[in-house]
Amino acid sequence: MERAIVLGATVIAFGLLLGLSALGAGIGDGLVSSRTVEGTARQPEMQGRLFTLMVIGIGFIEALPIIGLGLGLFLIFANPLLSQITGK
Amino acid sequence: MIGLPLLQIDVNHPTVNIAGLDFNTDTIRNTLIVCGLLLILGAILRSQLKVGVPSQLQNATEAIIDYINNLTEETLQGRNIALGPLAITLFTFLLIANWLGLVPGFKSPTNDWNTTLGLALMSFVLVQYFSIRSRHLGGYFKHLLLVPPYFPLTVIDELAKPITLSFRLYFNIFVGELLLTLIIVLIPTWISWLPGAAWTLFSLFIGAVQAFIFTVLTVSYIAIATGVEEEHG
Repeated sequence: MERAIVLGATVIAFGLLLGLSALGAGIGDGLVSSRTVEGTARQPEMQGRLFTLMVIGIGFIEALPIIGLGLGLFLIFANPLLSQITGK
Repeated sequence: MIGLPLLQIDVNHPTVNIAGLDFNTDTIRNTLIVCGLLLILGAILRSQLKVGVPSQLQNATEAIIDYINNLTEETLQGRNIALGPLAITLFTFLLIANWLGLVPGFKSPTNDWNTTLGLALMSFVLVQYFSIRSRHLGGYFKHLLLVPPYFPLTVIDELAKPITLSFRLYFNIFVGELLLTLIIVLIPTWISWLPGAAWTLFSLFIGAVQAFIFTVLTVSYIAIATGVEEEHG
């Protein structure tokens, strides 16, 4: 019974972790890209430098959901909470 | 590993114990493979070097080197530091290292926190070294104690840089390879090539972007640390 509760809670936590981090990163990516498009429309000659900055920004933002995904996979596949109960 | 028994994926590195220290053999082997690839690439490029019409390989390499070099000089404008070679070495090493994990049978050396933390510590030491060199020891401590109550925060800020720098690269590559394994294990074989190919393409992009970010951040941390008396807002 305890095992089932922990497993269910872990899966819910995984869903929340992945969903919320993807939501935030999606909003962030959208903001960065839209501002880059605006900037390029205003000053087309700046496109090269703006694109570099955009890629750096997107790299920063994309790192967060991927770190979240790593922690979530750790929760699922090497569950530290479950081992508290089973005592292994 | 505890958890779902069907999906036991081994992410631990095989280690060998020498003189009380654990060495991850696969990471060391793959790092040496990347170094060997870079050396061979350098030797081939050196033997084909031409002044007239360059070969395609020479063209591509020159484009990368020019790009990173210009970026470094733009970031470090006015400072008497030559960081171009370091930035180019870091970028090419990380690029080949990140992409090596996408070749079946190989794993990225950056798949191991030890590699990325080592590189990040190198950049941390460089930042402190250039900071002391440009401001001298007195100026260095004056900079740390600019607002005395914030001294702990400044120290934490400095110490957090290598940690975030290494975690960003490590987790991106580690999760990328883990997901590739998971796609093969979890998805039926007749369709698994589709998400597999999509994720591989995305991993190519991620690997290049993360190598680029690591390089740019190292350079810009040094640029911030050697700034000529900038305002602290």
